[in-house]
Amino acid sequence: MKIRVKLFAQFRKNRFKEKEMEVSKDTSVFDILKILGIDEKEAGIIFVNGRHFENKPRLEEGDNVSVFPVVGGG
Amino acid sequence: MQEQKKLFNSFVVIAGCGALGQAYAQSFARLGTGNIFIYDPDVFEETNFNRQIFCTSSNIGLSKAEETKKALEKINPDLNYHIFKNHIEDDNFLLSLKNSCIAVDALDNFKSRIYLEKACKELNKPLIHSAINGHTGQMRHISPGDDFLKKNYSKIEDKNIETKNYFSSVMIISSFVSFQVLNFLLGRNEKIRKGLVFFDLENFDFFEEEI
Repeated sequence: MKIRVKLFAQFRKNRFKEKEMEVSKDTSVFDILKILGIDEKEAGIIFVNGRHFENKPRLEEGDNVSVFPVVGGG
Repeated sequence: MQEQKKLFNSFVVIAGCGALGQAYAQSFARLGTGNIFIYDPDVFEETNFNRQIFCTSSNIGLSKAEETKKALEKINPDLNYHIFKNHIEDDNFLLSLKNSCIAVDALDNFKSRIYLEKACKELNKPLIHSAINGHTGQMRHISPGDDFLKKNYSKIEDKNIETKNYFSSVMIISSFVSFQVLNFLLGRNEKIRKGLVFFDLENFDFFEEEI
């Protein structure tokens, strides 16, 4: 199935800003991180279709995934 | 005039008085927010100089909360500044939060942020989360029960947080947060941005979560 992935800030380095990816059925957001070589601990907010991914453990055709790095300073 | 009076009768609590906390404190003082609570146990270090507005060459080693209060009293002596040189996890914070209209997260670690979110939920107070890292920054309005920080950051280890922060990021996020708090205090609910606002100056990229 096809999904669309958008990366923010330093995650774009040596990767991409936005890309359509072909993935197998039952792929989770964490599988996407693994494919892209992003450490789960470095990923802060992850959205699926503009919302927190909690209700979307498995991705579906046409989903939009956005991955933000941890921003924690004050 | 009516709005100014409303601000004068408002109570805001700022959790953390680093780069963001000091910028918010200045903004709230210049707006005439009548009662400002500030929590931070830290003292100024030389490394704060690049981004913390009240850090000067003559106050290294002194309390950030106390130095901020001194600066605010020069800016606007007619307001009430309550400073506390302790962590928000101490009991007195809950009393300040209970008396406040809104809380602002200017902390530098997620353990305390998640505690703050929980305290706001229990006392039914809205929270504006904010954070910066390098040339990026973010803001999120958290209504009691949203559990935004718990959902997104429970697994994050604070020791992995990078904090090379710049004044430019502080200024952007403090403008967003100050305007957000102003709108809340004045009851301009239609202007409040509820979703995540994220910016990345390096790529000149701005994102807003649709809610």
